[in-house]
Amino acid sequence: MKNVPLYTAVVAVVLSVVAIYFAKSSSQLVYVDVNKLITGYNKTKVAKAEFDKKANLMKANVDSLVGNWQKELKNYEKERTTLSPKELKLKQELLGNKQQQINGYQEAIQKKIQEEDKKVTQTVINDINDYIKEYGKDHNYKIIFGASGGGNIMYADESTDLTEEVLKGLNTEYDKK
Amino acid sequence: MIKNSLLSLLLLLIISSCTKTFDTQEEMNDFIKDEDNGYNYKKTIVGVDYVLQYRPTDLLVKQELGDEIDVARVEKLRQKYNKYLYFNLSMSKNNQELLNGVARDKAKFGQMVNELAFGMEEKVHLYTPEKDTLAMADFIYPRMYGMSNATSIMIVYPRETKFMNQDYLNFVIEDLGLDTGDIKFKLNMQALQKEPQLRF
Repeated sequence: MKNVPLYTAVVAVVLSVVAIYFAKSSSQLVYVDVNKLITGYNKTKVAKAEFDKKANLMKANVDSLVGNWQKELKNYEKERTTLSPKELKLKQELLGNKQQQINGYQEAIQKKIQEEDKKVTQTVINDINDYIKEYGKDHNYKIIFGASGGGNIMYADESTDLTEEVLKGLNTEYDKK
Repeated sequence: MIKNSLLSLLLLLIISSCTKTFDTQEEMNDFIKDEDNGYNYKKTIVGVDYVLQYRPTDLLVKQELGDEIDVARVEKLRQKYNKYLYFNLSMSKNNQELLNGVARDKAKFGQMVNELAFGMEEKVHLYTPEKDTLAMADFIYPRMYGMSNATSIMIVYPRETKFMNQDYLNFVIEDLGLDTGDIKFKLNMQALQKEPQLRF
């Protein structure tokens, strides 16, 4: 009976220590380096390789069209002296039209490449955002900042940097086989 | 004998405690709409709102039965619809259908109509964390010609045990030309396994 206050005090201390621990972990200010996450995420590498392949193929198509046109231009310059004024005009018009068409195609391809690039980047960002949301919920964080090197987080203690841990989890989930 | 009946009673109790049952369709809809229950998923990416909602078997049974409740038919219809997983996917931009946003661009409009009406099996994917893909059974896109405030598509997948036993499945919607990138929802398969029911 005498020991009851002692036991109560011990239980109270243990409870407060546990409460302090949980309160600290959930209210801690933490951050991730977004650029590091984007470059270190394995999906980025795969998506980038696929994108490069597509972009190179598109560029190769444009190059071969330009190559053909240049050949035709050279032939025209060679034959120029032998052609009649009418033929000359016709050939010039033909070459001009072709050049315009190639320019249009080149612009369209450039636009398509840019759109594709945007798509790939956004997909990676979506994945990272999803994972961080889930991570924050699972680990009871109230807030996770995203540092992008633009000065939004000027100083942070190393212990508040979750980048490596998040990156590891993100890649484990992506590489699951 | 007593042991067996006790066991079955216990099993029945466990099963009934797992699945939620509702008296009305409205109550069930309210339950499904609550994101915490694992049947409704929402996301907004670059101004495009995505809502993915699972439609439990009993909602489809109720839809077909209407007000004429016939117990024998209920079981028959449950068996019919239970073979598949039904999802409603709603997509909108500025509270309007997706097609409204590209109405000025003839080429983009045509491409999107084509994708929504005929190409969703190439744009929507359901796969396990190990990237094993479940092939889509069917989808339907009813055109509303701008009268609705979201583009809605019903998507159907076969209910395969191997996929149902996963912790989660990835539901991915590829970019439909709105620069959103791929949109991923993690479907809570435990919730789908013990889907809510209606009391007929």
